[in-house]
Amino acid sequence: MKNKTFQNAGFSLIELLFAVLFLSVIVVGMIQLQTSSLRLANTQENRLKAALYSDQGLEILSAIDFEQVKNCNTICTLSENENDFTLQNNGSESLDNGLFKREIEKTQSLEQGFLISSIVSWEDSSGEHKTITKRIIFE
Amino acid sequence: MIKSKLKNTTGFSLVELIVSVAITGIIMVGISAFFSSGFQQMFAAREKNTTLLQQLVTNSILKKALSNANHLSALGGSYAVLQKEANNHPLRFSLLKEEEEHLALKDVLVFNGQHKSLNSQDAVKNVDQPTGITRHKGIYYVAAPLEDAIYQCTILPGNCSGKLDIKGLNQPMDLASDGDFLYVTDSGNNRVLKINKPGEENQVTVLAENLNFPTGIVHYPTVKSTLFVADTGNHQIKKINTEEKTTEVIVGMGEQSECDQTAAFCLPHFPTGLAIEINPNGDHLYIADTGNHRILKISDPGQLDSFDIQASSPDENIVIQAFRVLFPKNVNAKPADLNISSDGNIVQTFGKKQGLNNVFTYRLETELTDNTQDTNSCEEPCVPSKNKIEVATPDLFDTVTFTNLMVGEENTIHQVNNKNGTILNLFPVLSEHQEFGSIVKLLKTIPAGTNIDFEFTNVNTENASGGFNKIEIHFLDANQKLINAQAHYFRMGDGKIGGFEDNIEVFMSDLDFPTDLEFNNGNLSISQQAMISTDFNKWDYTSPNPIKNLNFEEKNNGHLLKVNFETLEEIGGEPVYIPQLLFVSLKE
Repeated sequence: MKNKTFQNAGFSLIELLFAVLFLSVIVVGMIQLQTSSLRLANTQENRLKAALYSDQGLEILSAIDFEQVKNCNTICTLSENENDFTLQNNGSESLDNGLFKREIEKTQSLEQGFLISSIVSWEDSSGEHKTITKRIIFE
Repeated sequence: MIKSKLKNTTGFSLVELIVSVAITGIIMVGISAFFSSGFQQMFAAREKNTTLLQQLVTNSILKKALSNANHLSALGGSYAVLQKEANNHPLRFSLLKEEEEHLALKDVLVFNGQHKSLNSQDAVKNVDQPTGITRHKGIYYVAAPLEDAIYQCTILPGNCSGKLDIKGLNQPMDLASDGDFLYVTDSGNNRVLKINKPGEENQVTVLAENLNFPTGIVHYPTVKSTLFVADTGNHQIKKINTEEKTTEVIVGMGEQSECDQTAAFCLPHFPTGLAIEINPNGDHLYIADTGNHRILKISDPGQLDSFDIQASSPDENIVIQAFRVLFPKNVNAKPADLNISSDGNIVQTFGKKQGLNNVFTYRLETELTDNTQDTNSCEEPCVPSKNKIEVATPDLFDTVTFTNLMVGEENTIHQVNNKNGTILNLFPVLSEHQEFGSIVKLLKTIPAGTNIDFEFTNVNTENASGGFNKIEIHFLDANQKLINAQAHYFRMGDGKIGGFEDNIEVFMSDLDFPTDLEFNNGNLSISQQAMISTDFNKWDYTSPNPIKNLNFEEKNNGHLLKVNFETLEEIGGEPVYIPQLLFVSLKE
């Protein structure tokens, strides 16, 4: 190295290729790091959103006429029209442009109500996910 | 070139070096830009997550803060008022609104009676959040609920010097004076107090108890010893007799939200402020029906119903010597007020004679207790009851009186049969007596002296205020012979005929959040949205970031509040408004 400086001989091609290779390894590593970081952030965002939607599902359900809860078969979905949210046995509820799917499940019958689960499921680059929030809904 | 480079070691020329450095520079800039945008995206994603977290936190805070909220009291474009079942303070509301570009949640009280006699809060500078004010014997008295005190003020605007030495006050809200005594709604203790010689002896008497956070109070000078108080938590307006210490409901016994007929059956929602209009042509009580966003108006509030009896003899040679009043069976007139014979409700004379010679003018002002609600039979002389009516000798009565029979509610009568099975045509007609219900005109001619028993079928009386009672007045000559007759009708309603059958109407509607009222110089002034942030605030939340476009939607009959807004976030170094959506469930 010292000789190269003094001799003004420059880098050989081999040296140059090694340098490029070394640089590529670093770049590829960083790209992968960044990609996985972004993926993680995206997953986090989706989890948070799912938690929010799940919680909102139960909040909405709390305001619905209890008869509708009674009439719900095991799995139901929320439906919004101009004035009301209703609970329906058929159909599906999608949120956030279809990324999330929300279902209401009558998990357990209690003496004066039901244990209800609000299930939000979604799929992203890291796989399929599900967030469940539970609450007892009294008559 | 490459081959030569491999063979010799002379290195790159200057030009080659510059070119390679330039290429390397471009690559580095590209990589840097790539990473820069990548990091930017990463940070943006993190910030978005923070925003979501914030939404979760906001949701959680609001849910906790509004966990006692069970009713949506008011909904404006950019604010919502929710009623809370807060401990000891039923009039505490939660106000959710945009305040200085932030989402704010506050516990508030909704009564503000401070503009009675004054128009500026600054008039009472040293009192924190005064709510009621009145003048009594030349001195102003100011209710200060935050201090559980009543202040005395000699001159206003100015400083109020002393507090009344009354122990045990709990959020006094409003004051009234009748010239002799000072009256206060001791709201937190759910009672109304009379204070004798305020500032001196401070003798306190409890006038009414077991109210539910009473707020507005007014003295009604037309009727002796009368106060009106808004029993806010019970959704009623009550009349208090200050001498007898009795309380009667004049508004809020029924479930009629329209409030366009009988005051007693009107159902206000969180009434607060009251104002009285004294007028020679009839007094009016104005009620701030706060929860319904309107002002109600009652004519001649709390006064006994009255009717004039006027008659002249059909023959000038026959002088009316006496008259008798026939009350419906089971209607009890107060013996102290009326001269009632022992054989049952036949009255020879009553009232005060105002006419001369053959023309009589009497005014009946009495309270009559009605027990005919369940009467199903009818004996001569018969009167309309819930489902039956009997027509007596028509030639004795004025035509209008006799051919018009009042039953039930308008448009609820489908047919009427006489006992022989003949169906008579009836139709409801509007009249000046509509406040009594419908007048049903009988189209069949009934011969004089005929006694026909009609049975009304399909009469819906469930929602009616009750049946009707006919009071007949017979005018008699010297030989007690009947020479003329009249009839008057009263609705039973609250179990009384006469009494508090006040008429009510909606005076103004679609208001924001009316609380205090004041009638001055022929004009009613309304204080709206006089909601006071108080020291009671347990929850007082302001969003950390600015918001915009806050709006509310009521869903599922007010059981669900949908809140939309946008929060300002800085994402990737750029200010961005992120849509937020919250739900608050309310179950009464």
